[in-house]
Amino acid sequence: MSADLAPTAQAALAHVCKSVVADPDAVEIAASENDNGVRLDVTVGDGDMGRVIGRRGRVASAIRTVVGAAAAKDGVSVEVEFVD
Amino acid sequence: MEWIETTADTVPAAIDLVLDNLGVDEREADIEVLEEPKTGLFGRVKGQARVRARVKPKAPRPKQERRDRKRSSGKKKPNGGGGNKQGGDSSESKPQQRQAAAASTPKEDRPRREKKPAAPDKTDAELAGEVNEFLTGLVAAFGLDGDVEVTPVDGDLEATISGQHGVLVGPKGRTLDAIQELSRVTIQKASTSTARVRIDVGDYRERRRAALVALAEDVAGRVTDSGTPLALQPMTSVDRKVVHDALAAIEGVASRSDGEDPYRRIVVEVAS
Repeated sequence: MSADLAPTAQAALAHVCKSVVADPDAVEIAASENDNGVRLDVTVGDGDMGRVIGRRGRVASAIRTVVGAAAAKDGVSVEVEFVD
Repeated sequence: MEWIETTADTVPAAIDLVLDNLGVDEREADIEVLEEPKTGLFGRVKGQARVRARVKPKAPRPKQERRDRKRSSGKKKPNGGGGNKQGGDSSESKPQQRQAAAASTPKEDRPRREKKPAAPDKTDAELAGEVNEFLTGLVAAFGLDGDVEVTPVDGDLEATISGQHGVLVGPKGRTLDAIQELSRVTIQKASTSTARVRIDVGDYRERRRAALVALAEDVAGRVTDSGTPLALQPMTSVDRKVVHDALAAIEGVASRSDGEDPYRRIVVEVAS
């Protein structure tokens, strides 16, 4: 993983995801660059997908909001995807 | 898993509220409508909708799915990783979804809630510690300086992050609301607690509250002068409550909410 891309956003994303899931050690983040900015792909342990997405995507959208705010510190815009 | 009971003006609102409290999707919850709101003359709400719900007791995962997770060297996860403390009591897990018809059944037939909610499995202090850890880590991840303080208040948690960190508040407090939501999820994953979490950064909430009350007073004045109803901008349920409460204290005006979240908004009109 490229830790140099949007480091604040990555740190915030990792912290939030690990706090929400049952298996923090299984949380992984892969960063890549695209035309729109930085894309962060999150994978979580089996059975934890529902936790990071939440009812009607509420948790996922809260995560995106927080990570988006963190990305402002990095001066980039960030896209967060939860990968199955 | 204990039942949680809430009341609201309408049945859907009550269901939303109770699901928020549980932090799960409709499909993962047993929902029962205990009482529908009684409407008085001209649709004025006289009674509140009462709804109760609980997280559906989960049956153990099918074997097929369990095999996959052995790849992490068969590390044992508590309760199938679901974080829900109940076992696989599947006999109880029949979807008794939305017994909307309950309102038409005689009162005696309705499920009576005799037993008190089970004692939370964690103390307020433990939960406060978890929220503190979550927020402290978040502030650090943002590279900010700020002291986090979490205090249990009447079974809920109030947290404050010191400093004027606009980045944690966001436009109209959206980032702060998101952080609050995530804090709640954080404690619910490891506990049966349904404690609410309220977070403030600096004195943002207080200032927001003051601004909303000022708005309510201003709008009430305009509605009284013109006699024409006014619709406000969409707000979160928390903000709406502040405005409703402020308007309720002002004579001559009445308020209601209109539309569906996230576009639900307050309409202020002359009291009849």
